[in-house]
Amino acid sequence: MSEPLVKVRNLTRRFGTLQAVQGISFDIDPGQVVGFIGANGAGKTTTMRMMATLDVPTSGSISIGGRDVLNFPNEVRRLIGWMPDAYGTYENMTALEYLDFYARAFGFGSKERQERIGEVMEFTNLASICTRPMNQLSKGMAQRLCLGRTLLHDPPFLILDEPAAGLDPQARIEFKHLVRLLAQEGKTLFISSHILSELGEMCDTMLFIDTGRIVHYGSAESLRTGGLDGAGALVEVRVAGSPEPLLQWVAMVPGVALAEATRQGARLRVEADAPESLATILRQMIHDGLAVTEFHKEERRLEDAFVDILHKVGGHGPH
Amino acid sequence: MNDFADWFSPIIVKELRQGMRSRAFLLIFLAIQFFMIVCVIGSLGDGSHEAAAGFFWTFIGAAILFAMPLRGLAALNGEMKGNTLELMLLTQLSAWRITAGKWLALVLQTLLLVCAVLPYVVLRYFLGGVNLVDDLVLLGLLLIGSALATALAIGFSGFMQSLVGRIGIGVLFFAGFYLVPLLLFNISRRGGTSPSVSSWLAAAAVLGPLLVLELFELGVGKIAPSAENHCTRKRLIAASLLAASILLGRALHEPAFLLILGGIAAAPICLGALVEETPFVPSLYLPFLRRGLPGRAFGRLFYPGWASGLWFVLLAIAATLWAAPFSWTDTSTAFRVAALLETLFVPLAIVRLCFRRAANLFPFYLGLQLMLFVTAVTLSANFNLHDPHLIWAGCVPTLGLFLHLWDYSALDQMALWAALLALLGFFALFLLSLKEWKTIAAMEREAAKLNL
Repeated sequence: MSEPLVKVRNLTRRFGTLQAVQGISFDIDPGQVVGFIGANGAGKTTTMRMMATLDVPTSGSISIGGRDVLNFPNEVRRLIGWMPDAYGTYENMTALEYLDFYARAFGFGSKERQERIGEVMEFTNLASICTRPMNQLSKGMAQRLCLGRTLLHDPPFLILDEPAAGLDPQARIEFKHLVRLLAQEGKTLFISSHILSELGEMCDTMLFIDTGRIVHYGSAESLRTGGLDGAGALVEVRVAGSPEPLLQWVAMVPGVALAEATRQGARLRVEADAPESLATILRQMIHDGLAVTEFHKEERRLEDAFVDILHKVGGHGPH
Repeated sequence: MNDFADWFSPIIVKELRQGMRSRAFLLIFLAIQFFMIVCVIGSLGDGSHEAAAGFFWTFIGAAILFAMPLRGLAALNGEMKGNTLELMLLTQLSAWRITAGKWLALVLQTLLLVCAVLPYVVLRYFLGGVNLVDDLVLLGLLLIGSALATALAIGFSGFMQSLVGRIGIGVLFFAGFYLVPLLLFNISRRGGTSPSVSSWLAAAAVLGPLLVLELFELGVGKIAPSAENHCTRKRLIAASLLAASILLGRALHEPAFLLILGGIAAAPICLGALVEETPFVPSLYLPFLRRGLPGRAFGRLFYPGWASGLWFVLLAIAATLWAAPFSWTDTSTAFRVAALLETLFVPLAIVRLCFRRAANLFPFYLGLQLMLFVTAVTLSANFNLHDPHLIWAGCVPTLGLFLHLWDYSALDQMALWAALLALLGFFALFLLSLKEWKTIAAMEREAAKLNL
């Protein structure tokens, strides 16, 4: 097992009387793509800013690549690429000049700089807009430009704060594609969002945070297929006509509970999730006269997993 | 993307690219060209040289001394507002390089304006009635003045984001334009002579560069990541300002004048040192510890945070008082000093006791000082403070300073009370700082481990 690239230990951040981050600890291995999930105000950005050397923890420690963030910020800055949720544009500057400025600021010499800018523009597909003034770029283009800036010095660890916020569907797809390519290149990514479905498609590991505390850290796959932690499976049932008879049937049958009523049926929580047991339930439904048109065991949605975890730790649901 | 730009710092390249395309620069440039042409045409007429020269220099002065430096007020503030500053700080650009680069880029643009004016200066010489050397010297002085004003604007631009910052800057400008001339007038009136031109020039030559450095550091301290130490450098600059003003004052036989200039220049750093938060970053203490016992001793005055700031300010005041040409047998001098110390320490102790959990004490300290100042102005305007029944008024911080401006007759008792209050305020601060020193000791231990 390789040494973790990022080690966070008992990290705390207080702002006056507000405890934004409350003693969180976790590791990130090289090459991992970690989704950092939490409601607005849960402490995501504060944690990320401390990892990016932009804020100082009240207590605890963060080490990236074996260097302590607090005591060796300059060394750590070479290892990280930080893409904030709100980034500014410059007036009177083109996209190319923007990348040129940052490449200079990262210390690239003339020839090396032009090569690196070329590589980044090709990767982020920015070549066609390189002479366009920054303040005339669409949100999606600006986001790609910002990602390009983050990649200029080729950092092994990328911290992306709400990277897909405000993007249109097309730009979102493009952005997810770029993230997948970065993951294939072996970059370690730490991506925050409060939209779980979005992270589900990009990340292999999920870190849930609520009111400054970590409430879950595990693989996305285990969340999806891990069922209900011994509480059975979720089954979506659709019926022809009114779903009322189905709801009444669920209320009477032991081992089956209503998870959510839908327009055409219901999502049911079934205690026994073996295929034979599900087949028995379906047979019973048909036997009892329900006009079942669709019956399938569904993969657990990340939103449900998040809500379940929050209930379990006594927190509140997502905002 | 030419190689010529590689000779310059990235921030200068960026600022020049942006600045010279900005509407503000283009407008100033075109307006200068227009008015210069008008002035030259005006000089062609008989007997209109004087008026044309006045118009010529007024306009150039306004552009170089006012319009161009004013652009500096948006320098750091604009980056902070635009969420672009932190991205720069994550590169190899330090806060100092960013601030200095912005200043230099603005000065270079001003230089470009000056160069654009040169042909008109030469043209006026050929039209007659103008001393070319004098004009060129004046243009050079305007450029130096503009560089200083730009440093002032950039140094303060970091504080423009918050309302408190703007009020603070307003107070400083008020102090600069109203109180400083008043103080200087007061001193020269007492001494019987006003400072000579050579004193002004020597002060500008020695204190000017230090003042520019101080202004840079004010801006740098505002934008640098909180895990960096900029307090030590600021205090070193303040100490240099005071030392230079003391030495220069003695050499030029103008101790009071230069001490006041040095004191006023060092005041923002000293006030800042009293409200700085102690950073919990062990590596900041490493440079001190590496120098052994002398380094640790130096740290008692120069460590970041207000605990060492308190002793630094006390030492700065002591040095100033030692060098001041005061007669200590004079009661009014004793009262003046006691009232000043009281005004400095008592409100700070009150703020430290009342707002212990506040992240930034400066707004509270500034607010209380302003409140006391307004109270003092109101009371001194509406009451006869020479009334013996109002002797207690001398013990109120700030009001005591006002009483002194009018030679009050019963100062001996008031001096004692003011001194006692100042001592009480300092003692309260000393007790509060013990906890900070405990934290600093823990940081020193952590830093020693890092050193290993």
